[in-house]
Amino acid sequence: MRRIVCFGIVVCAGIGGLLAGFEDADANPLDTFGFGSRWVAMGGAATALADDTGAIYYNPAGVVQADRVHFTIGYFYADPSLKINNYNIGEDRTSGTIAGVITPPMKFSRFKFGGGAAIYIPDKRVARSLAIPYDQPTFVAYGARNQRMVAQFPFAFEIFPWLSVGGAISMFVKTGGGPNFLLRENRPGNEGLWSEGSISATQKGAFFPTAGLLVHPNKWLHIGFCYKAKNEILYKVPLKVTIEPLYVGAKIPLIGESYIDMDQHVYTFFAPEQFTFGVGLRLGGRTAIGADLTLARWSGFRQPAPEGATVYSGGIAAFIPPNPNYPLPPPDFSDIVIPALGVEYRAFSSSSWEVFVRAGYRFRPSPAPEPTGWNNFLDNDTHIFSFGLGVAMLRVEERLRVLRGPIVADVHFQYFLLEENETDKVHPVWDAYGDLRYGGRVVNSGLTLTLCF
Amino acid sequence: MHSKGCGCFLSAVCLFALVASSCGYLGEKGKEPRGDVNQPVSGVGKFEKQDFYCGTQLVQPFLIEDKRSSSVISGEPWLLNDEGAIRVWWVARDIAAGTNTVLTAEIALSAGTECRSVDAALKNIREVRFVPSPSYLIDAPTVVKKDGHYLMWFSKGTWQGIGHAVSDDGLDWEILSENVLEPNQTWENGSVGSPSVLWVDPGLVRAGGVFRFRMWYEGNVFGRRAIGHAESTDGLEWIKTDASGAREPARGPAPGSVRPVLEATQNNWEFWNPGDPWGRVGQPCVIVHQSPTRPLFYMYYTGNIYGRIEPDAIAGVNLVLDCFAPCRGRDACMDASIGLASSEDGLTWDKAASFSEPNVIANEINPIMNEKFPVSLDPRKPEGSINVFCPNFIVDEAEPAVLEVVENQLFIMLFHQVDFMNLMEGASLPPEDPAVPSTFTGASGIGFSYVGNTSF
Repeated sequence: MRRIVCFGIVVCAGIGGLLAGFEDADANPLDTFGFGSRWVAMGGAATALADDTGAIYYNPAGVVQADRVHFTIGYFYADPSLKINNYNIGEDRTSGTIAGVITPPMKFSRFKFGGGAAIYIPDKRVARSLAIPYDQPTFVAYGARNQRMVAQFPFAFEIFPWLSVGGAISMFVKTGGGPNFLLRENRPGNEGLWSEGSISATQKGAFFPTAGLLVHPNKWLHIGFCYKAKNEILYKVPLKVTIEPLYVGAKIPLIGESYIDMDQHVYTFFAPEQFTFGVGLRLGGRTAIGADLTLARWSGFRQPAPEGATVYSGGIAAFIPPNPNYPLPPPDFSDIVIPALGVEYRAFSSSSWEVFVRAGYRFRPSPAPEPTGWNNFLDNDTHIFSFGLGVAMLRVEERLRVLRGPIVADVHFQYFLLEENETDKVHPVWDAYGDLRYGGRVVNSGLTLTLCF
Repeated sequence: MHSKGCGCFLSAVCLFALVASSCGYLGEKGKEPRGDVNQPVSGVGKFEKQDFYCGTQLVQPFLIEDKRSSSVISGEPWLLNDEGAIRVWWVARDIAAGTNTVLTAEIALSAGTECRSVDAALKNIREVRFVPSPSYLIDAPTVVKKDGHYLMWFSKGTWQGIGHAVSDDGLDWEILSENVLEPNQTWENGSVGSPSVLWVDPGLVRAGGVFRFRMWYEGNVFGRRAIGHAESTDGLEWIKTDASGAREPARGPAPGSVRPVLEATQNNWEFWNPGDPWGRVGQPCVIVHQSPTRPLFYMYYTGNIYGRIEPDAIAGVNLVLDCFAPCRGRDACMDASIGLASSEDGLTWDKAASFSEPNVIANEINPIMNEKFPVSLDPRKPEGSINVFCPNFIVDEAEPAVLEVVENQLFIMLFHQVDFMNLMEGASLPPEDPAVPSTFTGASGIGFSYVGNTSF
């Protein structure tokens, strides 16, 4: 018992260390569209139920539940049709390949340890950071925010048969550096010299943790908890320009050496810190019901528009007035609670086949304030309906000896219905866009194939 | 059988995934959606001013060009959506002859070429006739179409009053009254003109009122020019009103307590410079814009308009010399621009943001139309003010006429542009653009500009 307690303390300390050690944390396009057709079809209510590669994303503590190698590969395609004032704004789609693998648990003494990896590879670009002016109407939950690759590496321990804990690390890249130029005047004495410069760019890893807990008080009841911390990347692109003394035809320099320092930065790829509590029921071997409640802390959302300041110093400072540096307005988002419910029912079963029918619902209230002022961040209360089918081919290992379990194919269809909002601006002509009516829909469909080895 | 079925199943799933994935990789190649198409169009600037020739700046206006060899200056345009056709009336002022001619034409919009997203062409240009023949100059016409009839209000003479005429075709007009509105308020200081009239829907009539004709006009033309408001049931009998609820007859003796509804307040463009005690706004063009949620009045108007003339400057002042004088030397040279304000009731107006206002963090919306290049900046710009110009050069934009082309998500504006020193000569001529003919001289007349999405 003492060893168990000690081991538990070590695990918790490890997870806690992870949480404390990283400045930002995990969230990604999978927050919006989910991972794996099975769980997407169930509304993403998988925190207490996921026991396959979906656990990597929904609750890494579930990774240790697998009894063999699971390999999943799939694809999804999410096509938004978002409208402002009844016109489609041409928002970018999100689509790509997902893959995941989890290993069968290894035993350390009386404990089981499992791990794996998952990846989402967008099929248009590895990542896209699109910093747009703060006042341009933008649907904050979609578009470029979902355009990034995700790689996630989970681990989990089964402390007791009824208790598992887990964590995951996802990795991304943040870029720093910038150009540095020296400008020279074309004048006598400068023959053969050119304006020159250098550009430096540094890519550093950004690591984001997730932590989970899974409890099985009995065979049919499952309770899960998952923490995902805030995800945010800061891009800083400072520009430094040095201008040699300017003679402007005179024999002595009329303008002394000058410097221009431009500090540009933008916060991007935000996803909120999340706390998810989930309950799962497995009833009679035919039915599984999952329910999740997520607190998403959108209050941490920072102004994602590019912001910067230019400082002139040296000789030209006397001629160029300081650039007014107005602070951009804060977005003032609110925390939200997202409920989700999912059902899976085994509709057909034979010695060779099983067919599952799934349905789910998720409600995501808008964290964005009504855009009556300077900002035009748009978001809507969103009803997310989903359903799907799963087909499991049993006893394939008898024919394909490389396999050690069923082949499972799942498909999903997800429909986001954005409730239409109308906003009267306090000052209708204080920006170029005026009063707004906005809403739309997003359709997401996909499939996954899971093999067990 | 089992193995075969398994293989087929696996193959089918893999094939589907491969095809779907390929579609994702190959589809939309070359496109980079940004979620910024069909962005809302609300008629707020900056309006994009069009040049006659692409690549050559400051040789506007594009649409009606005044020739240097002529003494005619074109201005005071008015736009009307005439059952789907865009129709314009404007005034050709012959400075030498001392006459005004009102003209009308249709404007055909089309997809632009080269530098223009929208192109415009005038067709069916015709001269307007009035009966009885007026003994005064007719200026600044505003035209409303109601029940198949054209109704015009105009400035009488040099801001002596506002007259009214009717027509069945927009060409032949019968003047019903030469004075439906006179200067009789304290703030008008003896001059009114430049009417802008709307026949509004019942929802835009003031609460409890029956006045569906609403007029905005300028007053105190030679002083602290401002914009007033009046309303009427028939277009002939008008009541002057203001935001405080004051109401007085529009002609004849009156107590004079009605206040203007819009005055100069924005330091960076409605005033000549921060030391200017007056400021001037005038020449309103009011339209109703149906936003996605409500109807709004939009007022396009001219700021820092030529107007403050000291008594000793009226006679014999040499404009050219004054204009080259140091800043703040004379008030005769000014650089007018066009601004925008909105209102829910037509009486209380909210101007577009301007940098010089306190607590405004970013946008400089007003003026929504000014010269492409700031021709000079006041080196003695006081702390906190921005873009205060020293009007040593005049490239006025004034007398706006705006029409919303709803089906094209487009607002078009015609405006009068005064060229460099009023010599009808482009400020940056001769251009290096080989497309510009050597005979081209115009930078004065009526310009064309637009804001919005421009798909045709």
